[in-house]
Amino acid sequence: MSVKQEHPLIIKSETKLDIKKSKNNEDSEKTETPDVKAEETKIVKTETEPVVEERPIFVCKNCNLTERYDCFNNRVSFNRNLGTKVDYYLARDPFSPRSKRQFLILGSVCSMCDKDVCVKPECSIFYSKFFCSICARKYISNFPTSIQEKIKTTKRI
Amino acid sequence: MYREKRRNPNDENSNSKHQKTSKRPFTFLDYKRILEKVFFNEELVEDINDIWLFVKKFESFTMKKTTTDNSVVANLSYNPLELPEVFDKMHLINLKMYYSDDELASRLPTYDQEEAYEKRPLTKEDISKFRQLVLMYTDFKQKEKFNKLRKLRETQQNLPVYQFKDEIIEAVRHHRVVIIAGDTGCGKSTQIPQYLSNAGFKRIACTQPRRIACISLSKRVAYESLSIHNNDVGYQIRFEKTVNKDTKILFLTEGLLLRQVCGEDLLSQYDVIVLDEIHERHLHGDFLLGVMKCLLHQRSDVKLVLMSATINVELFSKYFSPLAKLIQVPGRLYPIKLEYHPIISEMKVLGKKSERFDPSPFIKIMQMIDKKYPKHERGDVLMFLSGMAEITAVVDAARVYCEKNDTWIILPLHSSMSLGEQDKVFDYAPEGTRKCIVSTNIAETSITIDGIRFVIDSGKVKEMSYDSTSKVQRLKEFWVSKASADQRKGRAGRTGPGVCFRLYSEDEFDAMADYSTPELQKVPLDALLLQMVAMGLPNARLFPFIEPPQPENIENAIESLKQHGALTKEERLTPIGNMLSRLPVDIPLGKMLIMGSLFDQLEPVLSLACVLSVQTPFTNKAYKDSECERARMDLESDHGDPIILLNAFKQWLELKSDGQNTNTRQWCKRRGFEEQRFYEMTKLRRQFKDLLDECGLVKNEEKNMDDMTSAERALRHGELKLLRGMKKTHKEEDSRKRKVLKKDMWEIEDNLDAEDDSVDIRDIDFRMRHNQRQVKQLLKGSTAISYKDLMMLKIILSSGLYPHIAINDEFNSCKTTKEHLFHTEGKPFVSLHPMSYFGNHSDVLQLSESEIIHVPEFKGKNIVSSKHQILIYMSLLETTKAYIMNSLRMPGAQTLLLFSRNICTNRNFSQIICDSWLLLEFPLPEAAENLILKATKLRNTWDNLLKLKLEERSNRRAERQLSIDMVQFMNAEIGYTIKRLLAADQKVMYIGPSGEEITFTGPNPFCSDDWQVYEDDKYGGLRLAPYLTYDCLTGQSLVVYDPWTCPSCNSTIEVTSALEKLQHRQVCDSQTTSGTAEGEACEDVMAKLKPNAKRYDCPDCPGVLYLTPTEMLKHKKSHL
Ligand SMILES: [Zn+2]
Ligand SMILES: [Zn+2]
Repeated sequence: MSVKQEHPLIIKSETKLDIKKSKNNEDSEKTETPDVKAEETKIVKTETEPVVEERPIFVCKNCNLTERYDCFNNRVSFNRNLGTKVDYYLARDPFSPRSKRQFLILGSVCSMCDKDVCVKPECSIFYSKFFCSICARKYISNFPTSIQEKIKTTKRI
Repeated sequence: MYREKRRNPNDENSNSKHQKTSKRPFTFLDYKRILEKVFFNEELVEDINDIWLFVKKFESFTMKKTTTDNSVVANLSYNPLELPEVFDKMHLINLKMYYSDDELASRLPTYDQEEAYEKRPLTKEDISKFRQLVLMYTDFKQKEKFNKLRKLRETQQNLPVYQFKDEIIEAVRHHRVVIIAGDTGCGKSTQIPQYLSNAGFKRIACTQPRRIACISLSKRVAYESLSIHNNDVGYQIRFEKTVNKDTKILFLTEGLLLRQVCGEDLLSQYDVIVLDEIHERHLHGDFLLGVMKCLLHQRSDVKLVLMSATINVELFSKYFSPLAKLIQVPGRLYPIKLEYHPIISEMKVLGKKSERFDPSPFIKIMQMIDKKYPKHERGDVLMFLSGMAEITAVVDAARVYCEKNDTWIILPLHSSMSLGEQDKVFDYAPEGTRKCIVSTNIAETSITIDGIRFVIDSGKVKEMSYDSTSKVQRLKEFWVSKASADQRKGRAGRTGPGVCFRLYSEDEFDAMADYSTPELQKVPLDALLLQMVAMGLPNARLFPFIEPPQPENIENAIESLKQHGALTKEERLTPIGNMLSRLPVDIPLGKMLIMGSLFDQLEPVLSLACVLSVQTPFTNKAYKDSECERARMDLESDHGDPIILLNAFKQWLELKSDGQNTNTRQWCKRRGFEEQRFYEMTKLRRQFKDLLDECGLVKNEEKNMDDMTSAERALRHGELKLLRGMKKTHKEEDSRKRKVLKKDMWEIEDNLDAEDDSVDIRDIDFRMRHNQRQVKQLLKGSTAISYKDLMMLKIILSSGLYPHIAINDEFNSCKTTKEHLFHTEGKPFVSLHPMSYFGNHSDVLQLSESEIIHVPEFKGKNIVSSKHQILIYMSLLETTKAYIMNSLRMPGAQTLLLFSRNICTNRNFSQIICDSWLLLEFPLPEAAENLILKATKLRNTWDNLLKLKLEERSNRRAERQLSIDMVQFMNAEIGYTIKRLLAADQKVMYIGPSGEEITFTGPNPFCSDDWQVYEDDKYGGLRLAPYLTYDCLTGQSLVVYDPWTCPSCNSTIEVTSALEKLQHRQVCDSQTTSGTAEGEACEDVMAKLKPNAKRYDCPDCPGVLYLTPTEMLKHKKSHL
């Protein structure tokens, strides 16, 4: 059954025309009262930060955690006191107010195998450098003993 | 460094000294102030107190551990990973600070400042150590936050809808319409927009039936998608938005999306439109479905996602077939045991219909639960009842039961309760007790309460329906639908296995309708149809409603729109209709607001519209308790309920503005008012004002505080600070208090004094939103200063509410006040509501002996008086009887002549039929002639001025003059009778069309010359104006017209009808008045009102009077 038939409104041309017409009406009203429009744009402006492009996505190759991040760096532009020892995928901390200028470390690139992994203990370990859990286990004998213990006891995904 | 050098010698001294004198070990906690200065600004840590807690814990931990050196030399002979040679736990921390120890140490203050505290000064090593501490803390915080994120993702993945994520994305990619059916708790509302956004859809609009859901969902989704700091997720409700061009997911109300359909280019700003909760079948939801169906034809690129509970999914699926793909997401429901416990009342046994509601079956189930289920097994009870009265009865009975059995907390839940009171149902019952929520169907879908194990269902619901023919709203109790009953049952199985007790039989369940009636079938369609026409859908009859309303409801709504002047005869939008379509309020209210702005009465009309829009502030107690009635005496007005409500609002605002923080809560309680309603009024008033601002009907001056003096601003600033503090304290106290319910809560509720000590949070909110000046402004806007203003208000109200009018039954004078009956056009024999002013003072509406004029030569059993009054009312409500709600008294003939859509007269105007159901008869035809002439003049001027106003070319002076004339017109004293026509009368009253060619020559005294006079094809006679048909009534005796002397030109002319006389005067007046001063014209108006008036020099009164013979007699009498 064609929906066009079932549809009693002859929308094809007429309605479209009508809707357009009412749109034009609205436009002409708007031009008559310019302050209305000016105010609208003003509202938008005050609400907006400088346009942010589409935020890139970070995916942990180990556990599939998928998050948008703000930068891959050892610091964020909005916090000049605190940074990271190596480059990380960093996002603005979603759990604290913007004014606190906090960031959240999501993950990084394994210093051995170049894989993106997140900071979950199951996925990576940091000891002076960033290692994915697979590499950490592979090179376990090269870590200090207390770290070896740590690598052994963490769960695997 | 200079400073370090300078204090170094001192350092050593004090170091040794300190270590001798103090037994206390070193702790960083002693140096809070200094360290905070050295280390912290807002960028380093989020919460400074939190880090001190961490330091404290850390220090006590390391103390106990008898510090051993952590650094173990690792045996790294072979080091392919190039790790540090020496182990240090700090290598485990991936964070670093951008300041060197030297830099930090340089910030240390000079020693002198520390001497007083008998502490050794901090060294660079301390700084270095503390820096490590800070890094450990931030590392700990990072892990904590990451865990939070991880938990969040896990919860999301555990939602039932997650299993369907890929299927849903695929379906939306490949089908134009996807219907997702899943019950509350499956996560569809929060997750699906995110799935779609992550799948690459750029602009997703999600509609919600409720504004509050838009805000909370937008917050939740922003939180889950880690975008609270940008505009990826936003919401838009009327007057409020957090959206810009970056927004990917937008939550908005159904009404707003509808508005966007007509405003912008076919919603091309969205690539996916998600309609949520479509099973609720709200008016706007159903309308949107139809609009979307049309949209699908025009935009092949748009994707439509419909989300619904698993109710009647086939209907939606069929409606969009063959375009739709259906995905069913099973809910997470535990098994529910179903028990039928039909009520067998004595009345039923006796075969009588039980009148009174009996709460005992509900208590019996509570008893049963007490017996069967041990107290330590948790699980609360949710009861579904039909209305407030039933809830109160059960709550009272249950509390009596609790006196013996102290294991219950009884909580009513009803939409008219304040939100704060409603919130209590979410609190926990203390150990060993169950909470029992006694609710209307509000808890069926709108409110979800966790922890319910037992559901007790009455199977009943009270629903409002609307009869578009008689314009009566009916509030009646019905059986719920099967779908509702199952929804209610399901509430028992959300957190664990549950039991549902149905207080009806299985047969009764089987007899229930499958689904509830959609709102579209139950409400007036006027506003909806108007919006459709405004949107460019000219023929509502052809609109593809999912379930079309009754055709006669559509016809009646269109007729009503024509009566209101919103549509032309050809069903085109009029300018006022266009304005009305932009105001999302009921048409009568919208009309009042427009007229209010026309007559410069906007402020009081705004207040009036608000008091009439919110639920009545009068509680049941208000009319039962004589104390309350006495306390309210000064608010009463014999003009009617709207004016009393306005007075109450005004006085309440007065108390708010007196600057002494008067306890308005108590004021309300003493008078039997529900204070919440007044707060709602102020809120609504602001919204209405914003609306009118949007439509260009008013300039909103209150928007900013720029006009405050600096002193005022400072004062306000201080006040706000104080209020914020109070609010915060209240919140803290509140959150501490409310986690666990108190058992004797209701006792406090009724205690006036106990409540007065607590913080009135609503008062604080109100004062934060309004400064004194704004309250004063509100107050000014809620006052009718003079009689003229009051009359004008009443006229404006009438213009909106017409044709909601009622007249006295002719036998009322022989009955007691309570038995008085009234007639409306669509519904005869209605009563005044017992909780209304006239319901208690209906004598005000009756003629007193002195108001009755005895005219010997006038035959007929109806009473002649110039004081007949009619009622203008908001609505008719039928419960056990049909009641008139919110009524206002108005002068009869004047109001009818000013607002009737259809006025029919006989040849000499002695008989006038208004809107085909009210007959006015005038013993003095000349008086009638002038009254109707004056009425048409006013109406024409009104129409013209309104037209100018809507074109934004208002003529302020003419508007003012019109309102003066109108008030004067209302006071005209002319004797007449008023009678309701029965169907039989109506048949014989009209002459009917002659079918002959009609020629009309000469000027038209009732309308401008561009009106084409024609013979009315229904009544006969001459259509002299759009609303006026002359000489179409049969009931006229043959009038012999004597030669007539025109009072203006003094010439005597032969006339054959009253119309000819008026035509002559029209010509005559235009010749004589042209060029005369305004004052004379005014006098002329006075004379015109009473055509048979003669100059009368009263020996007892100063000045000259113009009086009719009857008036002359009366006047003479007054001096006796
Ligand atoms: Zn991972
Ligand atoms: Zn690796």
